[in-house]
Amino acid sequence: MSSLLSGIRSLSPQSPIDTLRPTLNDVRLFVPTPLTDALDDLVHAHTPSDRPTPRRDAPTPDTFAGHTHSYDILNQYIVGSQWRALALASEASILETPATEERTLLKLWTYRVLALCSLGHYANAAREIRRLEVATTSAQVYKNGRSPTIVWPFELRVLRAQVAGLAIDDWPLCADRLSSLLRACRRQLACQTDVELNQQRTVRLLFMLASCAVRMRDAQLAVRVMDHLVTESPNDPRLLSAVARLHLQLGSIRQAELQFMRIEQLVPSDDKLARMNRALYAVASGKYEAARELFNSVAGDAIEDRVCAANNACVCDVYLGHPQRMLDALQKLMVAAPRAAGASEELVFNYCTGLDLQYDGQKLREEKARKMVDVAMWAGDGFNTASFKLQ
Amino acid sequence: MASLMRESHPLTLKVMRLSRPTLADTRTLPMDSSTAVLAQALREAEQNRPTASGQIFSDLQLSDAQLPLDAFPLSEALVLPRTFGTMFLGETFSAQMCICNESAFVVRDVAVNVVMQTATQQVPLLDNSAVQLAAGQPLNVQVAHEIKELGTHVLGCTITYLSAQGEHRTLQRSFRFQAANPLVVKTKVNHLARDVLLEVQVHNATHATLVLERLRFEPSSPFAAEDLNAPHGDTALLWGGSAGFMQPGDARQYLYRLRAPIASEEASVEQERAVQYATALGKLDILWRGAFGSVGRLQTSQLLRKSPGMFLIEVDKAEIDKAEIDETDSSVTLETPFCVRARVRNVSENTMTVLATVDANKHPLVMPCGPTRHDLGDLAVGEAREICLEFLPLAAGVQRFGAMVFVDSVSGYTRELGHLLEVFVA
Repeated sequence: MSSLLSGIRSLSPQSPIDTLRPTLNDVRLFVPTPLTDALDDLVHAHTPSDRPTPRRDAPTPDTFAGHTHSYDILNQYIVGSQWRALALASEASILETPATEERTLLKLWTYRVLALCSLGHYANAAREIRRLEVATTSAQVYKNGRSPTIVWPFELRVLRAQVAGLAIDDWPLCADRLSSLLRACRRQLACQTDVELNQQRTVRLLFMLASCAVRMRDAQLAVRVMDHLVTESPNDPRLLSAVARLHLQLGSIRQAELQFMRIEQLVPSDDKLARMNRALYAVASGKYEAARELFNSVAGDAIEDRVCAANNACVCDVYLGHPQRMLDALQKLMVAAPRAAGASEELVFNYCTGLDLQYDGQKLREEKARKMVDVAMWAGDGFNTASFKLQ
Repeated sequence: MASLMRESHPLTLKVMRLSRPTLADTRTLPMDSSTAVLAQALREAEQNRPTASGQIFSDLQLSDAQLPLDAFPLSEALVLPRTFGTMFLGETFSAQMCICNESAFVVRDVAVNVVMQTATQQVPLLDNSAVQLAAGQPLNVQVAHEIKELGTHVLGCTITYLSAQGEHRTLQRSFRFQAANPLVVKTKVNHLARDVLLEVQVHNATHATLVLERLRFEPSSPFAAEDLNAPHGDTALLWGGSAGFMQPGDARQYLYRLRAPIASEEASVEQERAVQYATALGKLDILWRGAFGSVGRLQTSQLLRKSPGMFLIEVDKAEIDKAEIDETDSSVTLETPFCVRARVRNVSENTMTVLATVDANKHPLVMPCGPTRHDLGDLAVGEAREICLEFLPLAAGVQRFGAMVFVDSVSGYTRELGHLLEVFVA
């Protein structure tokens, strides 16, 4: 270009310069969506061809392209864990939404990034977020030449922070970004803006920071963050339970015991929460028989409603020397609650651990194949197939 | 999990280490408390996944006003151990073993013998009586062994049985693992008159966070130990809260003072000799917890020191006359004479005739200003005599003084004392 024209910014939407500047609905922001279903592939690989296998969703881009999809439909995909469909539908909606509708576009991007994260495609999510950051900056600067004032939805900002840890294991960066969000919330609180909303956001961010600290193996930071929350809500038994669990996981049994004793003063002794706490404390003390009884008392007859307690009772069976009992009880639980329990990665992992202990060779392969078929009937996209423990 | 099966055996053997379970991480989808369209759908999705959610329920109707229930770091669900992990000295190795009859026939007289073999010993863990296993029937047993040695451990399993053909057969398998050192303990001994100051440094040599629950020093005779780590005896500051956490690579230092229970002036010669020549100080007993409360315990071997030994003539007590010392800062005044009372004792095995001489030249800034030669006369074994020495401080500051020589005119034994005391001259 001639030097006479350099520095002159063209305002024409048809200008060649504009085609270089990405917008929030730019197709170049997207990374191709991986559409493979690892669970489906596994089922077909391990099930004899003469046996029927569950038919799982297999969305294709053509189904969604060229349309916008309502929030109701997108939310249904979330509830049904149809993350591939959500990724494709949100992409299609973004491409069909005008670039000027920034708020709508950012909401749709939240759905898109959420879908990629739920599918485990953290690297792709990180790339798309980075491109979106550039597009956001570029869109606002182009519009009025000032610094960006487009505010991303809270969920999208949190996803951006989490992806840093999940994609590249950079948990300190995740903690930095969460801390930055926390500071923003506290500034809002100081200005008395949306007080209740920002208080809840603050609490949520602190929990995520504690989680980050656990992943960074910084036990003291995790405990400090949780203790700070307890200072602000000293009489909420659920918060105290969460803090106590963290202490149990880290091995600080005495501190966990202190918290549990505080909780016992806040709730009736037969409260479900109190019994779960006692049971977990019993596990940490190596008293598996007592723990099993307490977990069973919480689960009661409605095991499908108390999946965690029922699962925990089954885990105790292994430590008591009864792995077959664990397998039978877990199978019963998974049948009673096929979605909540049958498609739970943790329960499937526990079940397959029991299978590995009890069986070998062909029998083991058959049992695992059977379980894969069961899970495939109910599990959504993004099921972590490592739960089946196939070497 | 270890699996070893040969096609020729109807039985299979599986072993799983029973390290502690863990709580599942929450895979929290970020939600907002606002009326964002996403929030309700995410909440509903979380309800369908109780084992991946951080929600904690109570029977009480508790207000959710300020406490979003979805973002707790850990869920309520327990997960079995994912890997064998690392075995550490001081921990207990426990394992679930499953012997399964994979054949279509009954297998009789199944007897299991399990031993733990280390570099120095073989420890029997299980030797059960013979049982019969129907087709497809498993036999589940548990074994446990406290790891007391570093290095290679081999879990050896021998299963004898009578096959369907009436043949006595043996299935032998072994599983090897290493036991590593979780804590590196270093000590340093300092002498403070008759007392010993023991510094202990404990270093977390693992890749995981440990929680120190107890570190106790058990002194050996003739010492008694004073724990200098807990201010006012409040151990909560040492082990409570986040103070007990040791991240990987962290080190902690602790200090103990070891005293002889009897003051030197009251102790007999034998008792004094026992203190001065004692080399064994005691043992450290350390208790820690790992993930989900797994316990580890170590006791060190006897901690030793190089004994200071004894002279045949000892000054077992030396102090400045109380009337001449400023009690607020234990100082004496420049260019003002003061008196020191020294108690000289014969700790040899024979009677001595002792002559004590103050060396005026060794410490010129605090000069003797009274008699420099003192004839203590005959001292029987264990007998002590007190002498009074006068000094004049000529310079301010912390000063050493009182270099002396003791001579036994009977045996010719001579003891040189570098200095009697240190004092602050104000």
